[in-house]
Amino acid sequence: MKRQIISLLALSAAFAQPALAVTLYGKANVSLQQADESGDSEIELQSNSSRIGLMGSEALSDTFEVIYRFEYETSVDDGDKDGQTLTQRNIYLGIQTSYGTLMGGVFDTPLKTSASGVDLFNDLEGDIRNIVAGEIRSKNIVQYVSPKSFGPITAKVAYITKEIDGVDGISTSVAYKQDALYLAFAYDQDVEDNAESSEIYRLVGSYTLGSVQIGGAYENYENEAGSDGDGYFGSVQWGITDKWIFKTQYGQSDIKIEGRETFSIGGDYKFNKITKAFAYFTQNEDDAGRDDDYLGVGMELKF
Amino acid sequence: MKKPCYWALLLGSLWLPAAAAEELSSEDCEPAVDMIESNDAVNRISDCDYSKDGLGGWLANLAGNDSAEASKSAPASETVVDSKQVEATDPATNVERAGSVAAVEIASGPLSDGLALLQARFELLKRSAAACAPQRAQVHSEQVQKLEKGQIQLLLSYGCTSH
Repeated sequence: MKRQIISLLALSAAFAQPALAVTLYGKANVSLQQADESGDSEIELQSNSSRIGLMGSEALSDTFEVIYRFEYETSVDDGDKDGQTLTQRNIYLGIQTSYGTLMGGVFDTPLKTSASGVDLFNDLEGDIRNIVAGEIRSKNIVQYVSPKSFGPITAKVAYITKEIDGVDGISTSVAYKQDALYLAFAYDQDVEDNAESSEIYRLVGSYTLGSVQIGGAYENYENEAGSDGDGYFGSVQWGITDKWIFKTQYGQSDIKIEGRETFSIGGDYKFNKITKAFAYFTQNEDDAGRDDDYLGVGMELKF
Repeated sequence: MKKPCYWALLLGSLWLPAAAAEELSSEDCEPAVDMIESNDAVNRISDCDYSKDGLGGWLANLAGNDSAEASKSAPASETVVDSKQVEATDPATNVERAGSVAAVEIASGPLSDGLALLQARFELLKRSAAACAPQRAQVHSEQVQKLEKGQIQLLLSYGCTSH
C-alpha cells in the first residue's frame, strides 16, 4: 500500500513540476437514450466521446516553445472502445515560434476544426458528421498554424501523407474570430480515404447577439467517381438564464446519401462551470429509408 | 484614394483590436477540454493557468504543493499536532502544576482518512507520554470534531499520574 502511495505521489509530483507545465484535462459525457432505429426501439447508455488527455508547452528559449497533446478516448458506458480501454484521439508534438506553429501527429484536420464551435450537438446523435463529409481525424498529418500575432485570423495548412504513392491530401482553413463574430473557409483535397480526387469546400459562420448564438455552415463535396453533393446546417443557442440553455439544429445534405436530414432540439442545465445535465431529441432521416429518433438525457463533467 | 487603400483600411480595422487584446485572466478561461477543441487552440495553450483546476490541480495538491493538503497524507509530521497545543504540554510548565488531576488538551490537524487518524493518535499519545515522563499520561477523553470537506480533528485530553 505504502509503495502504491509513494508511486502515486511521485507521479503527481512529476505533474506538479511547474517547469513542465502539463495540464491534465478531459471530460466524462454519458447519456441514457431511447433509440428508435428502423422500427427497433431500445434503451441505450451512451458514452459520448468521453476522454482524458495531457497538453502543455515547454519553453526552449524566449522565442521557441515545444507544444504537445496526448488525448485518449474512454468509454464510460461499457469500458470498451473498439476492443480497447483507451483509444487515441488527437496526438501531436509541435514547435511554436513567433512565425507560427509546425506540428505533426494524428489530429483533426483544419476543415473539421473550422466548425467546432457551431455544431451544438457535437458527439451526440445529432452530430454534423451524420450529414457532411470531412469530419476527419487524419493520421500522419503535418500542419502549419499561423501565429497569435495574426490577431483575429487563424490560418492552417495541413499535409496528410497516407504513405501510399500519389494520394496524399491537403487540408486548409482560414478563420476570422473577433468578439461575437466567427467566420471560416476551409478546403480539403484527397483527405478522405478510399475516394480519389475528392474535394470539399466548407463555409462556416456564427454570430452571438447577447444571450443568443446563431451559427451555420455550407459544404460542397465532389470526387472523381462522380459523386457530388452539397449540404448545410444551421444552429441556434439561447442562454435563457445563467443555468438554462436552449439549443436546436437543423441540417440537410445530399453528400453522403440523398435527402439526408437531421433535426435536434435540446437543453442544458449548468450546475457550474464544469458540470451540466442535458436532454435532447434528434431525428435523422434520408431518402434511402432511414428514419431514426433519439430521445435522451445525460450528464457531463469536465476537468 | 485608390481601391487598395480601402482594403488596407478595412483589414487594419479588423486586425488591430484583436492584436491589442490582452490575454485572458484565469477566471475567464473556459475548461481546458473546451479550449483545446477550439480552432485556434495551439495559439491558446499558454493563455490560461490550469495548474490549480480539475484533475491536474488535485494531483498537484496530492504531491504536497499545498502544505495544508499535505497534512492529509503525512499525518506523522509536525503539522499533525497543533503547535500551540504542543507547547501547552511542556512538562516544565503546565503538566507539573497540573499534577494527577489537571487535564491538558492537545489536538491534531485536519485528518482525511483512517491511516492519518491512526498516525495522529499515535503522535498525540507519544507527546502526552513525553510530557508526563517520568510519570505516566492518563488519557481522560478523546473527542472528534467534524471539519470541512469531510475532514475530522482528533482532540485528546490527558493528565499525568504516578499510578
